[in-house]
Amino acid sequence: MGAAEPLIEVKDLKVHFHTEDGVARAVDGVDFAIAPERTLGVVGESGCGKSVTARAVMGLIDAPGRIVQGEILLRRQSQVVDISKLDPRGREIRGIRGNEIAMIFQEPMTSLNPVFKIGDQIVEAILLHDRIGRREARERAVDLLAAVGIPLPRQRFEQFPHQLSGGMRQRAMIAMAMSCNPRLLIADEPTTALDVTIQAQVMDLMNALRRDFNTAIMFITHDLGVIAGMADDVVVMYLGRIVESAPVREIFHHPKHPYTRGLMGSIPSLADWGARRLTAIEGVVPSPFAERQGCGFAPRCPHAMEICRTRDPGLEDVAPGHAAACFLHRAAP
Amino acid sequence: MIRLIVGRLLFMVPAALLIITFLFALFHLIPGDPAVMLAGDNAPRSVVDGIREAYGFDQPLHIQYGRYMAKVLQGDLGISNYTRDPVVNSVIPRIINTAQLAFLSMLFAMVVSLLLGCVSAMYWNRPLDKIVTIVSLLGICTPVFVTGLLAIYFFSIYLDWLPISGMSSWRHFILPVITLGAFQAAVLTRMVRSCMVDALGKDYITTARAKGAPELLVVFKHALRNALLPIVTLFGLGLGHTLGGSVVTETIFNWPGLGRLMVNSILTRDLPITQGSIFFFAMIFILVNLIVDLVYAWVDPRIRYD
Repeated sequence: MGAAEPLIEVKDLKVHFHTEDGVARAVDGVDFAIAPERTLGVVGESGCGKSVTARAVMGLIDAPGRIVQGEILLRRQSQVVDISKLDPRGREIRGIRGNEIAMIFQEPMTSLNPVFKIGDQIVEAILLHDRIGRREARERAVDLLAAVGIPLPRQRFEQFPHQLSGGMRQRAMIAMAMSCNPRLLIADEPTTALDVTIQAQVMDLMNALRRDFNTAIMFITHDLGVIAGMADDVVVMYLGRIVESAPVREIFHHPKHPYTRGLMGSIPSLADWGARRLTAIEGVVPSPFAERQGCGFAPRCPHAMEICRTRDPGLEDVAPGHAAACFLHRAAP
Repeated sequence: MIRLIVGRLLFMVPAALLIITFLFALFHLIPGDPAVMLAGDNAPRSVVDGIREAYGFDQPLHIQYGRYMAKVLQGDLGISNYTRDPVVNSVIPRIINTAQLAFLSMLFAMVVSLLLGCVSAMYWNRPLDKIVTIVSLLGICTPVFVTGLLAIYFFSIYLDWLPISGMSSWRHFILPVITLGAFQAAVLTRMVRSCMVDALGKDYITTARAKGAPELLVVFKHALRNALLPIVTLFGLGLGHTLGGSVVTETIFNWPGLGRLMVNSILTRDLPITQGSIFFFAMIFILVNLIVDLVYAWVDPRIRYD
């Protein structure tokens, strides 16, 4: 990863949900860092803990969930704040949310409040953090709508979410997220609910904004194609842990962990049209309630060895800047 | 928006005509000869015939219907059998009394339920929420006459703070308003709570929190405005219910309202008064529905712009 001081650093983060059925270990010891102006792609199947990780960074874990361990360090010019230790409803985290760290969500259809005008929702985000007049905030909101490629921004300002298409709504969400010029933008599957052509437009837009606003991005998706087009670095999550982390080229060219390879094997490619069957990963994601023993992927892994079922491999470097949690890539233990 | 208002106003016309038709039918559907009913069971035949002719009961039904419709549309609802006063004169002041009681009760119910419901939703599944739930359940289970009598016993007789009956000062309003409003407050609290819990689980709430909005703004602006839609419907229904259900409260507190007038008119077989009361009750219902529709449009832009 980048040589610069990381903007945000997550250390051994554990988020557990205490429910009547037991304790769900949604995030179970995750470490990563994002350097300024870099994009980290977070990949994994549904339920692997990627969204919960993102919410933890925003300080938005709702009961019955709780950060039980770890640190989320946000580096500012003069000091470092541990987000995991802040009161989730307190003033300090509210000053960070939407201001230093902003977030956009998967469903543009439901993420905007249906009863307020698009423009007013952006103005609200601005006024929550900046001491400027309403008129000035309005002007900035219109500029933002224009910046995210919404035609006729002044008219759109006055419209309600239901009057906009899905792609336009996601653009409006992005405008809202960028309204206070955040240093980190968390995008939780922002393209999943969109048509493929709109997806491409939104990705282009986010790449352009990253350059213009110098924002770091944490991009969450289950779509490896999207990751290839967006990310500098990639972490692959499985069952609440990171199983592999590497720069984007490295992970596509030399995937190490059997799970990452499985994900790659399930993408269709025009290059080997008809020559190859798509491979699915056998089995299902185990319940997060289950007590973990050994490697979480072992029950589905085609290469599982005896040791995988008894010992936890832990994330270790397999090449410079490339780490995998797998015994296959290690000298005999 | 204007088109919506005009449309709704026009919709009131057929509703009103239907009600008048129903009232006319009422007169002829109840068993017995209306002329005998008016004259009394022991009246001589000549009197009955005189009444039949005077009221036009000897005419064919469609002519009677046309006449009745024309009279009602001119604001003439007939004459009371007993006081010989025009029905309108005895009904109008009663409506005002009942409306005062009903609107104040609903206002009370609204304030209480919005406050308790929102607090309950904010502290969902925690002790405060459970207390509110139990209290509102008690409120729903207690019939109005029990609430009313208990209130009279406690506040008027035991504590001697408030008057028992009548409506000559603002202090007379307190017990009837609370009695009539308590049930609605209880029903609506549960509804507000569940609507708010629902709204607070929506994605746009996460968006609002992710903007850095403080919790009070999230609850009372972002969630409440959305939860209001089903709540407004229930407020409308509740207001209708309160108007109709005021009969018991009016009887307990000796309140000179429309409900009591109607019940008395049924007991004394003063049919024109009964008709008049029903007519005005129905009109108030239609009006309340109109208001609910307009509030809907104000709350939800999706209705306003479609």
